[in-house]
Amino acid sequence: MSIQDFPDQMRDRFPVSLSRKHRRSLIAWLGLVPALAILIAYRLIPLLWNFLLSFQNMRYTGETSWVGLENYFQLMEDPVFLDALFNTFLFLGSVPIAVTIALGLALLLNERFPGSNVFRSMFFLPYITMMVAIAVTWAYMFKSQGGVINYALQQMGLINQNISWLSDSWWARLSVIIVHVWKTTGFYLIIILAGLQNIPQEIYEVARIDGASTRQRFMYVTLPLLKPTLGVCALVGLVTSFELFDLVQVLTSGGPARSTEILITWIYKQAFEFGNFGYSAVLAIILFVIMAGGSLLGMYIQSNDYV
Amino acid sequence: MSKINEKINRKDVGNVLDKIAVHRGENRVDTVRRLGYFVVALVLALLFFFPFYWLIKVAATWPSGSLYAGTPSLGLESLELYNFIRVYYEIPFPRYLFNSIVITMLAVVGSLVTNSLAAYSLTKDFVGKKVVMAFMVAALMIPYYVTVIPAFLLTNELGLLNTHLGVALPFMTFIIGTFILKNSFDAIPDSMLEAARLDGASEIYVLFGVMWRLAKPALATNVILAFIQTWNAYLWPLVVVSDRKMQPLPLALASFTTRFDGNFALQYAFAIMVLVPVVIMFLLLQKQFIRSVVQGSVKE
Repeated sequence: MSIQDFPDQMRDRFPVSLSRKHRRSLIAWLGLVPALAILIAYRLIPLLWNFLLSFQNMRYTGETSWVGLENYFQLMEDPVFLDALFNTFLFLGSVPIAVTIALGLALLLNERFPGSNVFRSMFFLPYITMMVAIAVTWAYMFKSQGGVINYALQQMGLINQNISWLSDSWWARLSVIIVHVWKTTGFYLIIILAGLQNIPQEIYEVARIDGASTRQRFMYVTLPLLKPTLGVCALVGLVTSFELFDLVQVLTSGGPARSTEILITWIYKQAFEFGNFGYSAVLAIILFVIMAGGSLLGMYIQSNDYV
Repeated sequence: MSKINEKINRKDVGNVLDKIAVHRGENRVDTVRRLGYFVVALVLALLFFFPFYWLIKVAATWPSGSLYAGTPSLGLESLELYNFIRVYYEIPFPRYLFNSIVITMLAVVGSLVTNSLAAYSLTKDFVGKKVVMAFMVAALMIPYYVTVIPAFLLTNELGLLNTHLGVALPFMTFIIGTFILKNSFDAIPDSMLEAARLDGASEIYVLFGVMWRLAKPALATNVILAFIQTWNAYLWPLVVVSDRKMQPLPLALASFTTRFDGNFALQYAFAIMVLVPVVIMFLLLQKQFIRSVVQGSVKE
């Protein structure tokens, strides 16, 4: 078949003759069908369905009844909700901590010395490791009796009494943050290293000639030029905070006394442990607003600074 | 003439020697500084690596069943595989591994195909392109776990609960992968594609025969990202799978820890068995892994 007969063939196939542009569009849409089908089925429809569900009461058998705003009123009677909301924000605090540590490590590893690539990989490894396995590992390290962390702290003389890491509400919260920081630091490290390597060396030369000290070079050259990179880190931190579900669920299962419960674990429990699908849909909407608001805010701040 | 030359030369040589001396001093300071950095980095890296070391140590040296051994020690004395063997006999490990592999393969292959098709479409100029792009960027902001309940109900309607496909389906396309492939396809010169089309290549051949060959790094990134997120996924399988036989590894590990609560040597052994495939892949493909993960989060 030569290229010349091609339009005729197409005309035979489609009774209404399609222009080149339309034919291209048709092919493009055909290609998009599988991906869009999955995205619509698993992103868009659930979002709308979730909204619908928040006004309904649903039994395990699947029967639904319309209850209006009742599920929303339940928020006020749920003592765990505020805790979960608080913890959701508190645990996001691991992002700035991890980014700060990563920044320090990046400045260190940016001084190219033998083995720095190996170190980079060592720091990065936790990031791609399965969160469930990590939680299992740390759960034992945190044990108050016989846990290696308490043992090490005692040996170093930092504590006299064993800390009850996972059975005290504030220590448990701290434990979650520590593990999340440990897991994500390597990732931020990689991003910040890439950002550091994008800063032209000449700027440092000029600053040095002008007599800027190391601290000044960091404060007035490195940090401002790294701002977009740090912004990316914050956004990614927000998006990847879903891993906290795995961590909280396996490390503390929300305890002690629901003190480490976060919105996503509470959503899961309300739906699949207590069978309150409607109420958990309300919680999901709140979480969605927080996440979407966070990413919009992040993008807005970034676009304001760098356009 | 020659004497003058000699004089000048001597002077030059002296200068050069001086410079070398200065340089040597600098080098020495530099070496010491670098050594310092190296030591600091080594200490920090070992500290970071400690949980992995501890994982191996406990799994490989502790007698199974001991809830708490007296004082923890750092050394790796008396390595044995007893815990691993016991895990193997306690649970149908190959079955869980099989589930994980099938689910991950479905997600990897599926996302490779759907992402490529979508990315190829997005490189063209077509009616409604802006709408699709806007939808994808917006969908990027809907984290899947927020809508996990209706997604579960939908999977139920599709009759896919407790199936490999049901677990894999949401992972069978991901927007960032589509965008990475699109960027890579955009970089391929149009003349090449036109040449293929003139030779009578179908659109399918242009995509899978020509573009795939030219976009290998982006394809590798797609494979790695799909692999990591599916292999490690916990929440979604937890929601969709209730049948023990269909559990992938993360679920199996989590329920194992409740079954053998307190027996950390066994739990650690299982954790290692779960982690080994990913860690080996990472060690073999470090550069690709790191590049993929960075690309997956810092999309332009």
